[in-house]
Order: sequence, then structure tokens, then C-alpha cells
Amino acid sequence: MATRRSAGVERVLNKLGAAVSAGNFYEAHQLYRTLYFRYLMQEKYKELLDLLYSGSKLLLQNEQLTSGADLCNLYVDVLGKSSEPVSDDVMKKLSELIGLIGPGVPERENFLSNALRWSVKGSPDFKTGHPQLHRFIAQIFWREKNYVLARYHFLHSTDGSSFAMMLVEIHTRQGYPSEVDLFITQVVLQYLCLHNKTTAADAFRCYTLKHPDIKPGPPFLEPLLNFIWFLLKAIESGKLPVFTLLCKKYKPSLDRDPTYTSYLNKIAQIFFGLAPQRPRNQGFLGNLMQLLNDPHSSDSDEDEHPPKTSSGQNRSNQKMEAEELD
Amino acid sequence: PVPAPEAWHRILPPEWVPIIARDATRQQRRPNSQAPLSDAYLAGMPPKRRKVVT
Repeated sequence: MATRRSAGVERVLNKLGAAVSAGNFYEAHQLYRTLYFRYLMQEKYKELLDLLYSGSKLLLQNEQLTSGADLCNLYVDVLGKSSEPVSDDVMKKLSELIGLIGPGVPERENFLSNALRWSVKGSPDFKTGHPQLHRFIAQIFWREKNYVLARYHFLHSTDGSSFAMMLVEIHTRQGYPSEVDLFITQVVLQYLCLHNKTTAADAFRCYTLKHPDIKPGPPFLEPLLNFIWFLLKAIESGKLPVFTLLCKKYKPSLDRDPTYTSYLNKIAQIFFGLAPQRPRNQGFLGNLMQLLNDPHSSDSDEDEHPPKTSSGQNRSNQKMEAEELD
Repeated sequence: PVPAPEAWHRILPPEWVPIIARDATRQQRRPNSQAPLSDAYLAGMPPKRRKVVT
């Protein structure tokens, strides 16, 4: 039985080789699918993963985007079934495939969210996906100049310096000169709301160092940059009076973007032990936090205090965001 | 309770005080209303919030 089975696989592999060298990609795609079902039944995951990875690449590199993306989805499906550990190597492969599918292929989004979902396997800390996979994905979107999605994935990565370099690029190309300090402030505050103070500090250091329009500091010429510099220090000390005083002294700068207040309320809770706001405000903050969170994940709330909305509503909000993000 | 004018000095590390004092002057010079924000900047906000601001 076993030999008959493997002989069958052998035959299909030969046919596949012929189809590929003849450039018959439609047939090749069907044969890959046949092999997928056979290997899956035999639980030969290792072989199947290699086959689907090389098959996806082959089809994608030959402009068979839809069938290539189909194999990509089989690949991530098998990853889930196999005991393959989450590694840099596999995450690199996943992001390579995302890059090869390219923008404009509907299956890509599905593949991307499945890849992120798989990447949290064994690490309950990463609810929206493994930071390293977010980083690779961010770089792909950056390369494609899809700044919105690149921003989102950098924010869930620990690569603050690449994010900073991208911000310099966005600001110098598309921002107003007066916003030079706003671009980095926004991102530092967002990182802090996601509890990621190390990456926030990395992004700040790199941006202020590399931006051609910022005179070296600290201290900086821009009050808002000094605020962020002090804020990062205050977080280290955890002293609430220092934090509130800073917010008061820099209010004119902070008022330049009305969203900063809500970020800072959240930061006060995370790093300075301020009690959560009253329910009404908490609802608003919860929503804001929810929007910062992953549109791909089903688990939206990284917070200990879930917003008042029902989980059903959460899900539909996320779906809306995912649509808006595209 | 709001600290008295000089009381705030005691809360902060002393080397921050001159910088914050200088920034206070700089911030006064800023126009009261911020110029409209660029689309590139607004794109960094969570989508719903963006709608509220624009």
C-alpha cells in the first residue's frame, strides 16, 4: 500500500516536472494541489512545505499570481498543521511570498493574515502577530510605497529605526515642513500605547539623528521633541508628577494634534499607574486602542480593561478597519 | 493641586528646567491655531480618529 502510494506521488511529481518545463502552469497548479492532498493524507509535512514553497515561488515568478497565491495559502495551512516552529527562516519565506504576490491580488490579504495568525503560535504575548514577521511585512509595504500598511506593521514590530527612516522619507516627500516634529511624536506615542517603550526610544533616536531638518539634540529646537525626550526619561522613573507637569508645560505643542491627549491618557495608565478613566472616556480610549490594534487578528484587545463594546461589535469594527486600510 | 510658579522646578531634574523655560517662550510665539495637517500625517492616525480631525 505504502509503496503504491509513494509510486503514485512519484508519477505526479514526474508529470509536474514535465508541466513546468513545458511552461504549462495551469496543469502545474493542478498537480501541486494533487500532491498537497496526497502528502497531507500521508502527513508528510516537511516534504509538502518544501514543495508548496518552491511551487508558490515558481508560479508567482512566472506571473501566475492567483494560482501562486493559492499555493501560498496552502503553504500557511500546512504550517498550521505541521509542528514547524516559528522561525526567522519561515517568516522570511512567508514575507518573500507576500512580496512576490504583489499588490492588487485579493488572495494576498488572506494569506497575510493567515501568516500573522500562524506566527503567534506558541507566543501568547504577540496577539497581532510575531514582531519579526510584522517587520518583514512592513519592509515590503515600504518598498511598495504603501505607507499606511507599512506604518501599521512597523508599529507592531520592534524595528524602530527602519520605521524612523521611513518617517523621514514620508515627511520630506509628502509632509509639511511644520510637521517635522509631529511625525515622530505620533509614532512614539503610538508605540508607548502599545507598551513598547524600547522601540519608541529607538525610533525617536534614529529620526532625530537622521532627519535632515532637525538640528542635533537633545535638547532640540522644537519644544515637542524636548517633550518626547523628557517623556521617555520620565517613563523610566515612573514619576506621575513629572509626567503631569510635562503635559502641562507642553500643552500648546501637544494641542497641535488633538489625538495626543488620548494617547497620553493611555500612557499615564500604562507607565504612571494612573487609574483608568471613567467609563465614558474609557469607551473612547478603548475604541482608539482598538483602532491601533490589528485589523487581521481576531483578538483585538491587548488591554486589561476591555472597552464596553460587545465582542461582536469589536469584530465588525476591525473588519471595517481592515477594509479602510486597503 | 497646581504647583506654585516656582514649585514645579522642584519636581523636575534641575537640568530640565532651563530647557522647559526656554520652550515655554518658544511655544508662546507659535500661532494659536495649527495649520491644517497634511494627508501624509493624517494617514498615521487610526482611521476613525482621522475622520474626526479632518
